[in-house]
Amino acid sequence: MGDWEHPYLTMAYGNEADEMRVLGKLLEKGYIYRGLKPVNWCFDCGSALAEAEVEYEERKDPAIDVGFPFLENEKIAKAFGLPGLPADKGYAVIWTTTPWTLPGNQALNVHPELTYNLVETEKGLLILAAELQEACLKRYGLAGRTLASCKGRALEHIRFRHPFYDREAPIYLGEYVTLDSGTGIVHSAPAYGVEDFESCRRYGMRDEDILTPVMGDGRFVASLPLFGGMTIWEANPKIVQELGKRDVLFHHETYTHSYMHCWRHRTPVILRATTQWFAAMDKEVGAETLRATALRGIERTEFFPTWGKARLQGMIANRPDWTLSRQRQWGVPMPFFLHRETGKLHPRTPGLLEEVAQRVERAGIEAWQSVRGEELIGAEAAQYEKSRDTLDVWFDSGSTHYTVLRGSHKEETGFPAHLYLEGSDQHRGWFHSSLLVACMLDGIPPYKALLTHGFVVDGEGRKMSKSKGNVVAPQQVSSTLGAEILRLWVASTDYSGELFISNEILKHVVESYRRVRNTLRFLLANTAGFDAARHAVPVDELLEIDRYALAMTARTQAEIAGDYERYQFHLAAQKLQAFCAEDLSAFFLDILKDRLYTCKADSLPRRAAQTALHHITHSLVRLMAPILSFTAEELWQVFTGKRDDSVFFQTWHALPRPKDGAQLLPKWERLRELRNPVRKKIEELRAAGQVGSSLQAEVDFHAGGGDYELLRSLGEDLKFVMLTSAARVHRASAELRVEVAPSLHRKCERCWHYRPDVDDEALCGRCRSNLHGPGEKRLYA
Amino acid sequence: MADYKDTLNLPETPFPMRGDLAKREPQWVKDWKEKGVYRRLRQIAKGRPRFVLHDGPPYANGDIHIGQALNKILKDIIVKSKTLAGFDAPYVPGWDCHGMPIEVQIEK
Repeated sequence: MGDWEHPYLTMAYGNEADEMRVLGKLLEKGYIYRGLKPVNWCFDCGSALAEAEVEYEERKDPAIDVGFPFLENEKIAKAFGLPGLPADKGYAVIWTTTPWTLPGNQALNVHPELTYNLVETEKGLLILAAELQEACLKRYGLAGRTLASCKGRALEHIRFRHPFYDREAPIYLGEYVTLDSGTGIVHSAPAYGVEDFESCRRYGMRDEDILTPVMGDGRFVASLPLFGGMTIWEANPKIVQELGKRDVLFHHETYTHSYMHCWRHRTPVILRATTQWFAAMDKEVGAETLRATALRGIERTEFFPTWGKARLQGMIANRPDWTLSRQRQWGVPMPFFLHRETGKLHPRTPGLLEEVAQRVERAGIEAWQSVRGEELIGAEAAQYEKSRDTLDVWFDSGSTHYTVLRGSHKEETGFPAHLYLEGSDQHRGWFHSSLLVACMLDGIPPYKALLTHGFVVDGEGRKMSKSKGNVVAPQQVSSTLGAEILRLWVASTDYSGELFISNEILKHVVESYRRVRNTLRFLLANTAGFDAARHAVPVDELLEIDRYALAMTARTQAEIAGDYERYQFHLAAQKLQAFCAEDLSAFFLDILKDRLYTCKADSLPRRAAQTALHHITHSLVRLMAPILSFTAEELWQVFTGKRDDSVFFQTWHALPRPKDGAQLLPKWERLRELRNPVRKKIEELRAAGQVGSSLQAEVDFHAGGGDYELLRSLGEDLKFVMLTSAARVHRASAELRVEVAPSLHRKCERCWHYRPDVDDEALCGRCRSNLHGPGEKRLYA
Repeated sequence: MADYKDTLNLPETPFPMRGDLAKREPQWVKDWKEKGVYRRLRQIAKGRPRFVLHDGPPYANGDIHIGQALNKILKDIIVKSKTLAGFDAPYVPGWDCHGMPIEVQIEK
């Protein structure tokens, strides 16, 4: 149910214009900056990618150990506390799986606190992390002798020669260096790694110092010696070859690892330094960083299921600055004018943004694409370049709390939303980007609660795929079993994990549906002709079991309403089904049949039963409506007889509250328990061929204490509760004993009870009274 | 033997035993549309405390049709249960045309 005639469209002109206004506001607040930075880059997109656009897949790459020749032997000797080096030739050895980053190498990183050894081998001196030395030498097939050791800190600033270019690589300290693999020395290409970039920055490297030989299409610039014009993947083996030729390749193998891929093209993504627009996570704006604002926001957000909180927290705590710009033909433009020399934004940018927004509101994003600079900034157009960047698509969807909730649909919605609900992959997608935009814009999250559901898998827990032939298509289910069955499946399944579906599972759902429908049908069939206005019995004049049934229904209604409120639909569905099957069909309705069918149509006992059923139906039809919407509406129309009405116009039913409801609940729970041994013994008699129906049996209870009082309290009506023709209670001190025996009396052909007063017409006393006399009295059941 | 069946108040209802769901559901959808149930509900719920479930722009990353159905059904259950619980719970579906779907078209 929804406003399908008026959906919101992120591509609606007004929404696009509002999105530019959001950008303008964030710019004015100071979150947005422009800079060089390694970003996830897809050659096929020719664009930067957001974190959420990157997927990991297995990939084979060359893994190589490469020596960076010694250049400052005296400094090396000093760092290791030696008077001099025993040989001239030596190498700091690095390990990498991306040979193509070597042309961009500008430094080496060691960890300040790790121990490094100077090792003498037949290929020369090597510097290796002490802990990795053995593994490295084994890999290189070399024997080695440790000459001296030092902490990484001692090596800082010592320069080494690039393995194939006439260039130097100084050692910088990096806390990120680990002993997980490699040599403990990491080669640093600041344009192609985040840590590389950050450590070079810390050592004073400026944007213009950073080498960026890889172009947007994945080729090296033509001017690059040795590998110019090649794609980086073509260059990989050539680089390995070159290293071998120069005798600085210590080892080479093929390495399978999990590597970043573009979610659209499924091709490898690299980190590549480009000039982009960013939202700063750690810049203090006002008194707080965006990261802190967002983390504070998560703290006050409710998560269903609760583990979502830690997940989103972890992502926000660790994410880099958000790359907002893309280089795409389509998408919402970042309508900036940048100074051709300084790269600075035009001083009137906020005003210009609004001007462009107004044009876009009228004519869409083409209004920016087609506008000439002169139209907006006059003669200054010569000094300014019109930006061709567009906004990350996650900025589009991350701004809907502004463009929709406070824009195109502000009348019928509101900000912040109470709930966002998507698949659990959206912690890093829409939930994430929406949180960041709202925290920048408003300082609070755009939602009060987040709900995530898992993904659907087949009956064996496998992902669905056409090739496996295990796809369950929703259209297929609706056109064969009905959308209602799909709804019941959704509601019955705990969505917090993976959701299993198969034809077998759906068969069970159909079975559950049939059982519920049978109960509904009984309710309708036995309230037909009941007009509450004329026939309803005041609640405290109802029979005891009817009052209990209302109290029990009220309790169930409160529980199910609570389950809905906590979005625990599988619990609501379970309780609905249990209520229909156990509380109604197997208990209340089963007992009620005799009274409904055999009592005088307009008698108090029957009208009392119908009054209870009337309210139970009113409660149940509403409780089931969110899940079994079609069936509830069908029931509603038959039940109320109003064609132009809808169950969805209602609110939870205001059930009449019997005064003694609180006492009746425990009393009748116990009575229901006491039915169990009776049912069991009757089953035994039936199996032995001694009775046909339950009514052919009589029961004797030998009970003490509370049970005795309880059973006695129903008087003659106890037999109806036990579905027997007679029920007697005897005081006993020992524990409860139940005896069931076939009745010795004749069967009444009308009510099927076996009674001593059945006459020659095969009619019992109560049926004679119900047919020809004043009608029987009932007090309890 | 006497037959007392006619003297009993036997149940009767036009509500069929079989749901015949697949066949009859489209009629209900049409019926709701014709009756303007959503629009009338907005009138009826006016002035109640509002509950805003914000629908996400759908993302088409692969064959997740059953997943989309799951998502929309959960949202529908929430909007309906909130309405029945006494809220004004509108549902404005979203549609994102900047992301994947249009790019797929362009690249085809």
